[in-house]
Amino acid sequence: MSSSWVIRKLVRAVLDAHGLDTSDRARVADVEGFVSRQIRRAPDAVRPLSEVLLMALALTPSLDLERARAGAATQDATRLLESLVLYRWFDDAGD
Amino acid sequence: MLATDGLRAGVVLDPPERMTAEVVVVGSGPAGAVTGSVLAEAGCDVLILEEGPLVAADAHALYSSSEMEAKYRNGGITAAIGRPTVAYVEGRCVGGGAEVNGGLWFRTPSDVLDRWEYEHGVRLEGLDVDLDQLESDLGGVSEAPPSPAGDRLREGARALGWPSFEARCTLLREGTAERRRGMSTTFLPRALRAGARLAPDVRVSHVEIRRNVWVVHASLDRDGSTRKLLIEASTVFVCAGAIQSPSLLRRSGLAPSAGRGLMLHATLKVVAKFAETVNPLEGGRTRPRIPGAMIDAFGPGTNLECAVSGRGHLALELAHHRGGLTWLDEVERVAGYAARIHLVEGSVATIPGLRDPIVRATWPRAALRELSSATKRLCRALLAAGATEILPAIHVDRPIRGESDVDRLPDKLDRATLRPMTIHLSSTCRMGRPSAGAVVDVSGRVFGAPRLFVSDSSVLPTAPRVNPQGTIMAVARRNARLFLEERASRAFRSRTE
Repeated sequence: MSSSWVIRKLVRAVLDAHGLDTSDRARVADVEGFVSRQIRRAPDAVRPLSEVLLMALALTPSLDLERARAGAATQDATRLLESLVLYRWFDDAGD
Repeated sequence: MLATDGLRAGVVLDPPERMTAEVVVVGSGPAGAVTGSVLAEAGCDVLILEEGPLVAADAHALYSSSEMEAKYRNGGITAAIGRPTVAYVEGRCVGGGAEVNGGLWFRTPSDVLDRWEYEHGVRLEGLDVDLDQLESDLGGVSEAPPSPAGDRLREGARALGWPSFEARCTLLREGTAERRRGMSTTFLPRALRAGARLAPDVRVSHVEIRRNVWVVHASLDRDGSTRKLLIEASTVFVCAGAIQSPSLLRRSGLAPSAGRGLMLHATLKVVAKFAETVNPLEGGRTRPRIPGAMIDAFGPGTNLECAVSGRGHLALELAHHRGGLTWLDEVERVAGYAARIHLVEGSVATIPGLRDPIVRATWPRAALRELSSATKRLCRALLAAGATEILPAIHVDRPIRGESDVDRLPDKLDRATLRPMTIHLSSTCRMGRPSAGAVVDVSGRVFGAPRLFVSDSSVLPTAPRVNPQGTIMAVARRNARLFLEERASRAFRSRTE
């Protein structure tokens, strides 16, 4: 299971990469919680690989999202991560 | 009134370890709900098992991220692995896919029925009667409400001389608000009023036949705890959808060809910006919905249509383009559209030890060309409707602003940068001839397994090329009706012998 620091670092990296204002801590924490819950729900065949790749991404000293998106090994996990972060960040359906 | 009020009477929240029923229905989505209601109203003792939870239909905003968490399988993170991988979603809650979709309603096209008859030997006599009855039971099916984004698509089609239409839908309109007519507010309450029982949070691991009785091995999974259940039934209807139904058969050691021949409608999203409002806000928020405007002018292979245009949904597509997210600053001028093709196939495999099946998608080169052609046509329609900029879900150096940009799109899309999705999966337990790899006969009976039926999108011989919900429900109703006719004749024979 991805630990909270991994999720925190990756969520922050995605938000920063897209130039989004992360000063609203509650909003950032909400996204972290969403991403963490969703990764846990991922199918058996996807979850372990995603977690390993996300961990590897998080361990990268200077995380370059552009390269991660293009990498054959990291592409799917990066897309998944970005989708989750941005969908929740911008979701204004409001419940 | 809560949307689940109609379900309270027959819901079994704390099922005993052992249960019996004349008919067990696995799955409470459109097929399972219809099957359960038809059988219960005819006097069968029906138990409907649903893997997902009971969630009030109005507990979450339509298409919100919280709805995704609560009602989608794996929280919506499901994908058919391939080059490219196709993201898909399945409902996993009481009412299944009908609790999360846009409620668009199509009758099965006559050319599709003809193809099923001539190529697969599947003649679905009486399906029209079932469709008529379902439309009546749903309380009416009407044209989807017009929307500015849908109007633009149809204007573009008109300008290019392409026919377009407004699809019908099952949404219930209350003033300006719209509610889904999902199964939890229609066929499931009917089934329960007729005496059926419904057990949510119950996952069926496998079925086996012992002394001519089906034994359903299941577990109640709720709040992190699991309890095993054993259910005996004379008859089992598997209505768990194109991914879960073949998985259940394979876990049960039945139907070796189940899971082969998955068909899906592959969809590529396109986001367009206009000079005027196409995505009106309410209280500063987007109001996600699926307009019914469609262009179906290019033969049976291609549909051009509207997509959900919530701020979050648009962000998913725009994020892949440099500066794309800035479009959200004027989100009321931005709308999502989709190009859809039907050439992608795949398979569903069950791996021992893994709870979730592995789903694969196979893309022939023709599909990459077809999807490119559909995307170009969609861009042309949107430009003709006045779109000022367009961003498709493929790599482009800059937004599409004119015909010359459309011409520059590749004739065959690049597998590496394509980001397709689908919500329509079918044909993994096909009806037809066993010699041709079919799993069930023309009334849904599994070959070689007495009184075991599959009745959902998995039995469709091919993808129906339109939104499949009407077809799925009609086939389920037809199969239930044929089962009842045979049951009645069995009872008559036993009385007279």
